[in-house]
Amino acid sequence: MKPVQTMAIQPTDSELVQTMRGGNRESFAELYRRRQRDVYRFALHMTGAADVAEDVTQEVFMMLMRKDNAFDETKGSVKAFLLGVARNYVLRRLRQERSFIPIDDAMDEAATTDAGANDSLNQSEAIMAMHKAVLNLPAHYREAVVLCDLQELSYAEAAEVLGCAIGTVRSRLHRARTMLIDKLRSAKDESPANQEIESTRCFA
Amino acid sequence: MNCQRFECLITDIAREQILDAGAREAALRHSDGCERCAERLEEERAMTTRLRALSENMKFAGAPPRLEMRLLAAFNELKLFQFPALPLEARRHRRRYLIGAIAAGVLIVFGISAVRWRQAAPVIRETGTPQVAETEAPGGNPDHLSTAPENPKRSLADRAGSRRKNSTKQNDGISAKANPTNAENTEIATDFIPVVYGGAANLAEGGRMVRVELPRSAMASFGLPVHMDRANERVKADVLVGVDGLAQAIRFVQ
Repeated sequence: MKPVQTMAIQPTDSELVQTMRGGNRESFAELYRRRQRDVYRFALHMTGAADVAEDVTQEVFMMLMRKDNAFDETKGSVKAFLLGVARNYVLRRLRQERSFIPIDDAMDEAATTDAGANDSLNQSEAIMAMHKAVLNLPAHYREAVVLCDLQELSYAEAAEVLGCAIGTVRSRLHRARTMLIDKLRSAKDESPANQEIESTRCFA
Repeated sequence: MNCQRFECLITDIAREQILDAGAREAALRHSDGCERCAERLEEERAMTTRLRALSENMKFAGAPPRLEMRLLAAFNELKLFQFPALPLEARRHRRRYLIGAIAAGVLIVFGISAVRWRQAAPVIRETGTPQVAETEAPGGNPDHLSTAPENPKRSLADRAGSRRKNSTKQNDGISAKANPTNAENTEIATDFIPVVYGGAANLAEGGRMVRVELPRSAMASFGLPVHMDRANERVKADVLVGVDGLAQAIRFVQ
């Protein structure tokens, strides 16, 4: 008699939330493994601090494990819900600290975990400069860039996370990218290499 | 396509978002002919490349493993609190306790209701019910037909007060029905005051009670307080009439 081969069907995020609400530990663990990167990366891109990102991730999943969490599958996906909660925690932290959070060593560690990604120092520097520029954006422009460009969400998903219209997301993203281009252009103009060129011209 | 329209589409073109093919072609044709827009498109494309590089660089960033351990431990603790999993036997015991507690609760409620109902039950004579039976009892010289009320003023005041408070409290000299659920039928009456001067009412041979109305000033004749402003109002009274047709005693009813 041949053994019957069955394909394991992966439960959806919503199904995992349902079973988790019933006290299933494995569902919670599975959901965490699926979604923790999204939440952690969002918080890291928004704050630039690994310890804050870890705190935010913890808060988000602590909230999720409570039986009375506000997730409603008719209103959106689990991913959008988690990112929306993460956004609230991040904005709260940013308001509390009221200052720019510099990229710390942990950020560098995170950036170098993918060994094949950074071949040259220049590329690494360019990435760090890009990240600093993103961190210098006002929060509501920053979150549009992080969600749409860095986390590759669609306009509709980003609008769900931010709780605004798709048109608002598009216009914020357009404005944020324009600001980034201006920042990088001015940074390039102020770089020592350019200053040397200018001084050469003066002597000539 | 003009520069303004091109600026609206430039982000989507640079990010290679799904666009209407016609609009995309028109935008690209415009950038071919407009140096400024071509430069803008180049900047936007460079920006997309940089952002993708940053995204790719951070692709594997994730929360440290210790966080998962912490969260799973927290879930276990919360699970014990939120989802208490009792063994079957314990659940049965719990159900028995629950049923017992409900039954005890019901009994207590019934007990309290019964006690309160007994306390609130009318023990007092009703005005209008034939008192003749009492008075016609052989050798009847009822105790309540005292020669005079001990303190009629106090009695009336107390009764009025107790009526206002809707209280069920009874005083010795008071014959009132104070049933809160039947307040409109409640009457407060004084004790019987003998009409015959100098002696107790003689009802040994029987008699009957007649409800009459008198001017309130008549109460003063029996030593009861009367408010002068209300002296012209009428007040009810029960008169005990003997077999000889003479009034033996009177009580005022409010």
